[in-house]
Amino acid sequence: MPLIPPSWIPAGLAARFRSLWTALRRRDEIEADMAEEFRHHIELRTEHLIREGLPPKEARRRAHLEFGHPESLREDARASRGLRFVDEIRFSSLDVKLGVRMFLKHAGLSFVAVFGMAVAMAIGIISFEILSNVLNRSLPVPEGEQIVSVGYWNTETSLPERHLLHDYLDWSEDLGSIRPLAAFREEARNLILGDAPGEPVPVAEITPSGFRALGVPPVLGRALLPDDAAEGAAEVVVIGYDTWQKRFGGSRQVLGKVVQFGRTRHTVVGVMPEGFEFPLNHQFWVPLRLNASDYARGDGPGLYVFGRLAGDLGIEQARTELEAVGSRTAAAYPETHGRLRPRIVPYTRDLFDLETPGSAWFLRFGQLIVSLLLVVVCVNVAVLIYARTVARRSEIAMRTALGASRRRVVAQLFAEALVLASLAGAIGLAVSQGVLVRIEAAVESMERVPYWIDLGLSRGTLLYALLLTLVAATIVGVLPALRATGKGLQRSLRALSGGGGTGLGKTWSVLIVSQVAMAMFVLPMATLFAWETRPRFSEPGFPLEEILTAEVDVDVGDAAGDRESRRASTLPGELIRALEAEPGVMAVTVSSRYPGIGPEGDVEVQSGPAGPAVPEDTDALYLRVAPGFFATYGADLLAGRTFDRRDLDGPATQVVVNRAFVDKFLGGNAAVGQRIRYTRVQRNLPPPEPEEAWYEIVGVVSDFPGHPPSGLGDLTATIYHPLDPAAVERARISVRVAGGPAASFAHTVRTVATRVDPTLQVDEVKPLEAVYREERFSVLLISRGFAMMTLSVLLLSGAGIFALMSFAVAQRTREIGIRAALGAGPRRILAGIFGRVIRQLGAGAAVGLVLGGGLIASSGLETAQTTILLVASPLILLLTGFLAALGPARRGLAIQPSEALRNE
Amino acid sequence: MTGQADLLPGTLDLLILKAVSLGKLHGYGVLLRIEQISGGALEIQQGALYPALYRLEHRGLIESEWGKSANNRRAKFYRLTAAGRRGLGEEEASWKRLVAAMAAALSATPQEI
Repeated sequence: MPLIPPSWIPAGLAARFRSLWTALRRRDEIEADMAEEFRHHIELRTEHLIREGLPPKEARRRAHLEFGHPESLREDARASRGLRFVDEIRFSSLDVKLGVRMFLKHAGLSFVAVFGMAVAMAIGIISFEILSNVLNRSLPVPEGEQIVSVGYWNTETSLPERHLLHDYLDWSEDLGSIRPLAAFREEARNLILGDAPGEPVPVAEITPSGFRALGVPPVLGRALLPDDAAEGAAEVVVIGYDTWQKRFGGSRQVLGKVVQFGRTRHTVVGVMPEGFEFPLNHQFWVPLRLNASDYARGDGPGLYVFGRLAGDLGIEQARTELEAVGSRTAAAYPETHGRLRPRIVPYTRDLFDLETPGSAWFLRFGQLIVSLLLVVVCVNVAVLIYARTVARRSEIAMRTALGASRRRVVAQLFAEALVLASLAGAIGLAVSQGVLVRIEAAVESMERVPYWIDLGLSRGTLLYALLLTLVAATIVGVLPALRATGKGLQRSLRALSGGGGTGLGKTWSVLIVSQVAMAMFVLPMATLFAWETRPRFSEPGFPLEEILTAEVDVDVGDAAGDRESRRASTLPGELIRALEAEPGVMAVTVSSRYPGIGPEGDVEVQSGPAGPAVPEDTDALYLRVAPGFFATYGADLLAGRTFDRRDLDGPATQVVVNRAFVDKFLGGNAAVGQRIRYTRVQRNLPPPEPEEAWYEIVGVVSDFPGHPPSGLGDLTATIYHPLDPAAVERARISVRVAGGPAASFAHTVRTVATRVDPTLQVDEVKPLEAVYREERFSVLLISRGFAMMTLSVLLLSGAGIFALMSFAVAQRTREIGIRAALGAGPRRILAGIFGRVIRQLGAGAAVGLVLGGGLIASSGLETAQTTILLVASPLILLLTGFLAALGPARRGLAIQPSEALRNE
Repeated sequence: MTGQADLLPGTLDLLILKAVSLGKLHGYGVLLRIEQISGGALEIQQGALYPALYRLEHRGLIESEWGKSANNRRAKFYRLTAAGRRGLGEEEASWKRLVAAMAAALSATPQEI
């Protein structure tokens, strides 16, 4: 296949490139051609000489002589074609074998190098895969990058504007650059199939044009049609492939079957293909039926609008058109649209709020920083390899003397480094795959993951891993090799002939000092961070295995009138009473969040005679709990009272706090009767009501759980507000099951809920243990990841110091023997060796302390902790250096003086 | 041999391009052609010929193809490419400028300074 370089490459360069490529591809053929050409030339010359009168034998001899040695000519010919360069840098299986042998010979160093690189590569690979998924512009539909989200950005609230019903209808007529245009909203509906208990599932109410926009035909039946969205049309549903397989056994008779959502029955009219779960991870699609005349402009239910860019139009052209339309709308309706800015983004980016190219580049820049971690690690490994390479300088010098070019030697050392890097890359990939699978599973259990996100080792990620491997091999192999085959090689060549020279000098001292400085910089901060982020899990203070949790909501639908709405508000209370009547249930309670998890706000205590000094941070957790909450969890009442029915009448200005709150905000003094208020509450979450009021503490309870579920931080100050279970629409219930395990009661909860009312949605039914496990997941992931990184940095630093020290002292072994032969006592010799060791280590520690000390001093640690860190770290490094120097020093002392003198 | 001149460094490539520009030739033919057009004054070291030919081919100034020689033997023939024609023109002009300058310098008389 001819190789055609791009047109922007200069012609001369292109010709060279083409010639080299041909020479590489048809190497054997070219060698045969050359041989034949030379033979032809010699034959012609021989005939010429015969015609001039020479005898044939003499003519042949003269022709050969004039021509020269063919092999030497072939070498020159190869060089002319650029093949000499390729031959020199090409490495063979022998080089790889040598690499494996070196790996096994220096097993300790190899292990440290591979471990360090593997950790750095795994971190890079995992972040690359996650980033690739986040930045993916394309939905898995035909020409998926053409699917865009259309909407407004509210400049006042800095949030997307979703009340788009009137705008959607306007855009459907006015926008020519996005066709078809479609809209959807999603609702959690209570799915009831046959006799199975109700199960909340996300249902997409979508305009039929949405299916045309996406361009994915169903595998069975049909998609939604415009007639399905008409007022009074029969209720239909299109289902997803997974639902078809799992709930209907993949039967082709599924069309016409009935699916019940709440009280509404829908007929199945179509099945979508495997992998189609638009808009997020949906399996049910029903027609969107909204009448614009029922709502004012800027009002109505929240909608998502999307569509396909028409023809070959780009997103910028669509943006221009939308801005023009938006300007006209803003001029016509300034009170609703004056503060709205039109926006179009690729559909997949809308979810991650990556509206501008700048935000995507910011993430890519972050990826680059993560990749640089590998560079730092590889430079450290390169120092270790350099020590090993210089120890082989006689071998390298010998090869050079026998004719190996510098390029050839560097190529061989690159091959050896490639063995290390390849192994590190393979381990990094394996670890990444395992971690990515766990991350995806954990995130799916906590959040709804978009269906187009697939955390696995994609082709792009594999290529990235390959690139990391090559970069690592280059840094680890080529840099030390260039250094070792540079000026130092001359000294080595002289040394071969006995010319002397230790090969040491300033370089070694600089390397040792740098290695120690880096370790000194990293070690204290790394230790501190690892200590602070270590997960601390303790007993929660109540029988965790007995608590089952669930989130309760009501599937009301838009058609709900006042009667249905009133009934909906009583359903959670009815469910609680029904569950309490079940055998095995000790208690049921309801709260806005589970114990230990919740929004935080800043609190101030009203100053007075018993008011304490303001604590350093004023965070406190707050949740709303029903009166029976504390009894359900077995919390001890330490002072005052808990909630009762009185607190549910009128404005709820009474609160209960826990012991941690009293210790933090009141210095352990009496809390009952004190008043508090919030100076800040978490955005977008319901604040305590009434807002900005003063709340009176009426009781103090014990701390439960005993420690934050995430494992991070200390006991959390918590404020409890009263909650009326009969007047809440969405709440979290806690069911205490006698003797546990709570998980076994999950089915009963769903069955009871369906029995009470088919519109009762009971979601996230799981033991509280599982909820706490999810809280811990991200902390554990970060903590473990950081611990691995710290360990690898420490291993590398320690190994680096060890290797450099060992080598530096080993180089002086002969000197030690000679000094001993000349009468110096062992103590004096050792003092000389260790004196130098101390000076180098001390210089490195000083540099590291200067750089890292400032960080530690500003970390907010107590003086004692700071002192311990700053003293222990250099001691550890000094010890490492001494141990490294000890072995070679003892070997040197053991050399016989006569042997040392003979070698000199 | 009397009347022969040593080849200056860098001129072999120019001579090969010139020889090949007069018609496609195999390697030995190039040698003979250079001898011919120089009137026997320039004799090329045979060992230097093929590396030079391959270098010019690598740079894209000449191209080769196998064919039949005059005595019906399989031989590799070289001819000038478009880039080679341009390169030859530029090198010829440059050489002529150099020769003219050298001639002028070498024919200077004391009266002219």
